[in-house]
Amino acid sequence: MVEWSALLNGVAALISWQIMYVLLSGVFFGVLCGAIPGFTACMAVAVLLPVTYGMSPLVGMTLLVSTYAGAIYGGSITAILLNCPGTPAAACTAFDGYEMTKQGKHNEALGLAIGSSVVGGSISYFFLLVLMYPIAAFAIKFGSPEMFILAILGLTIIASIGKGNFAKSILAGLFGLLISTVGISPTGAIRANFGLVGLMDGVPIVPAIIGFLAFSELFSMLHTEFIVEGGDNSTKKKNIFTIIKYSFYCFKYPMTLIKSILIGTFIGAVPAAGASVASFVSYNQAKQSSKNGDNFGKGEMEGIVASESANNASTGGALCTMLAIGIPGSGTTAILLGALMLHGLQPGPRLFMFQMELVYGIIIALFLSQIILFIAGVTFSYYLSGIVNISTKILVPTIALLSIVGSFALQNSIFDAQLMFVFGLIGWVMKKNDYPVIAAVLGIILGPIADSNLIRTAIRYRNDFTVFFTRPVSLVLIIFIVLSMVLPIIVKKIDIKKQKKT
Amino acid sequence: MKIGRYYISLRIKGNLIFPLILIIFVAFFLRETTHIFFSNSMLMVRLILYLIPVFFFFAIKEDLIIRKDKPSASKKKEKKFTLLQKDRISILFVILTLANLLLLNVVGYIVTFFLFSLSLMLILGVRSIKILMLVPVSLILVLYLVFQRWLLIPLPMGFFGF
Repeated sequence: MVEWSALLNGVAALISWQIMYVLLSGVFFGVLCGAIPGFTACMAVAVLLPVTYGMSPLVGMTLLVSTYAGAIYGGSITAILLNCPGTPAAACTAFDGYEMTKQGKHNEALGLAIGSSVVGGSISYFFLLVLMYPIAAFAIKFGSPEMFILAILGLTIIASIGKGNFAKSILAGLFGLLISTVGISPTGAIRANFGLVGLMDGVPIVPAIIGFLAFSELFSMLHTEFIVEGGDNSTKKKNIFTIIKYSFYCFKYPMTLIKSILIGTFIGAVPAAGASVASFVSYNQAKQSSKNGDNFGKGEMEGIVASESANNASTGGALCTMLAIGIPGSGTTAILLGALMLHGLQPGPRLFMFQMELVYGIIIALFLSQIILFIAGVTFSYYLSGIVNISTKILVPTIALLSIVGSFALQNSIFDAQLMFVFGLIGWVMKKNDYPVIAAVLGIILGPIADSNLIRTAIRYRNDFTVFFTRPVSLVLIIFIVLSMVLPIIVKKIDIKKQKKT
Repeated sequence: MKIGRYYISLRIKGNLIFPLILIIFVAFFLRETTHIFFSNSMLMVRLILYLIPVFFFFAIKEDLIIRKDKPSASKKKEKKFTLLQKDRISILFVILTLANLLLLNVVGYIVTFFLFSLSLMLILGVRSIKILMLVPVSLILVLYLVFQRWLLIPLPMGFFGF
C-alpha cells in the first residue's frame, strides 16, 4: 500500500527547477532518440548515464526514466510517417499507422499515438504506485514454459494477417522464425551462421525490422510522387488541432485501451519480455476481439491504440520488477538498475526500507513526464508531419540513408547495414509475391523468446513437455490462446446464422 | 508447362521467387545444422523445418493454375511479373545501394552518401541543380550533427579520413 507521508516527501523533493529542467530535457531527448531509426530506448538511456554521475539520485533517475518514457513513445512517429519504426516496440504501430498516413490521415494517427501512449504510460505508473509488489511477485512466477506460451500468444496473430491467404502468412511467419534462430543457441551450439562472424550472435532485430518495413517500402515509393496517394492538398496539411483532437480518440475504444494497458503493464513486468512483446500480444488480442478486426493492418485506429498503449504501459511494468525486486526486465531497466547502484542504492526491498521518498519521487516524476510527453509528442508530430508534403524524390534518398545509418549505429557495424539491405530486398520480393512482411517481422521479434524458453523448458524439465499443461499459469495461457482463436469464429458463425434468420 | 495430362501455369509470373529464396535458405540452414539436428538446440528449428514444406505446398498451390485442357490464348491472359520492364528504377536503386554499402568503409560516408543521394535523385527525375546540391549536403550535415557530434556514434570515415 501507499505510504502517504513518504509519498508527500517524494512530491516535495520534486518541486525544484532542476527537476523540471531534467524532466523536460529527458522527455524531449527520449522522443528524439526514439524517433531515430536504430537508436533504441536502451541506447538513449545509456548515452545519458554518464551525465547523471554528478547529480543527486532523484535528479539523475528522473532524467533517465523520463528519457525511457519518451523514447518508447518516440519510435511511433517515424513508424507512422515513414513505416520506419524508431524502436522495435513501435513496429506494431507501423502496421496501421503507415496505412493511415498513406490515406492522408497522418494527423489522426499521430494524435492517437500520443493519446494512447500518455494514457497507457500514466495508468501503468498508477499501477506502479499502488500495486508494485503484487505485480512484481506475480511476474516472477513466469518461468520458461510461461514465457514460451506468451511468445506463442503473440505469434498467433500471424494466422490472421495477409490478404486472405492463410498459408502465405504462416510461411512468411515461419521464415521470420527461422531467421531468428540463426546464431548461438542457449545451449551454446552454433546454428547456421553461414561462416559469418556477424551472425554468431544471431540476426540483429533492428536492421531486420528497418529492412523489412522501411527499406522494402522504398521500392513502392520510387513509383509515387508523395507518400499520400492521390487526395487533395488538404489531406496532406499538418494540423495541430487534429493531432490534439485525435489524441483523445483513444477513449473511443475503452475496452481495447484498458485491456492493452493491463497486458502492457503485466508483460512489461515479466523479466525479458519487454515492450515489443507487449505491443504484439496486445495488438493480437485487440484484433481478435474487435468488431473491426478485419480492418487491422489497413489503417484501423484501434490498432494504434492497442499497440501504443501497451508498449508505453510496459515501462511501468518493467519498473515494477526493477524497483520492487531488483530484477531488470529489459536492457533499459538493467541500465536504470546500474544507475541506482552507481548512486550507492540497492534496488529491491531494501530500497523501500531506506529510500521510500526516492522511490515515490521517481514514480511521481514519471507521472509528470507524461504531461511533458504530451506536449513533446504534439510538438514533434506537428513539425514532422510535414514530411508527407515532401516529394518522394527527396524522401527516398533520405529514408535510405537513415536506414543505413540507423542499422549501422546499433553496433557500429557495416555488416548490419548490409544485412538490412538484404532484408529490404527480401521484403520487396515478399510484397511482390503477396507474402506479408509483417508476419516475418513478428517471427524475428518473438522467435528468440520462444526458442530460448522452449530450450530452457526442455533442459529444466528433461524433455517433459506436459509441464505446459501442469503449471497453472501456463495452462491458463494455453486456454486463453485456444479461446481467443476459437471464440471469434464461433461468434462470427452465430452472427451469420442470426443474419440468415432475419 | 505440361505434366502428364495437366497444364500447369503461374497466376502471376515471378510469384515463385520468394518460395525459392525460402527453400534455398532452408537448404543452407539444414546443411549447416545437420550435425546438431536432433539436439535440444534445434527443438524449435525442427518444428519450423517440418512445418515449412506443409505450408510451402499450400502457398504454392494458391499461385498455380492447374488445368486439364490446353489453355487458350484468351485464357492465357495472366498478370505479368514486371520486374524487368517497370522496375528498371528499382534495379538501379538496388545497384546504387549495393555500391554505397560496399564503398562506405573504403571511401567514407561523406563521399558515398553524397554520390548516392545525388545519383538517386537524378534517377528519380530531379533536375534542379539547387536541389541536387542542397539535399545531399544537408542530409550529410544532419547525419554528422546527430550521429557524430550529438550521439557520439562514429560513422565510417574511409581512407580519406573524412
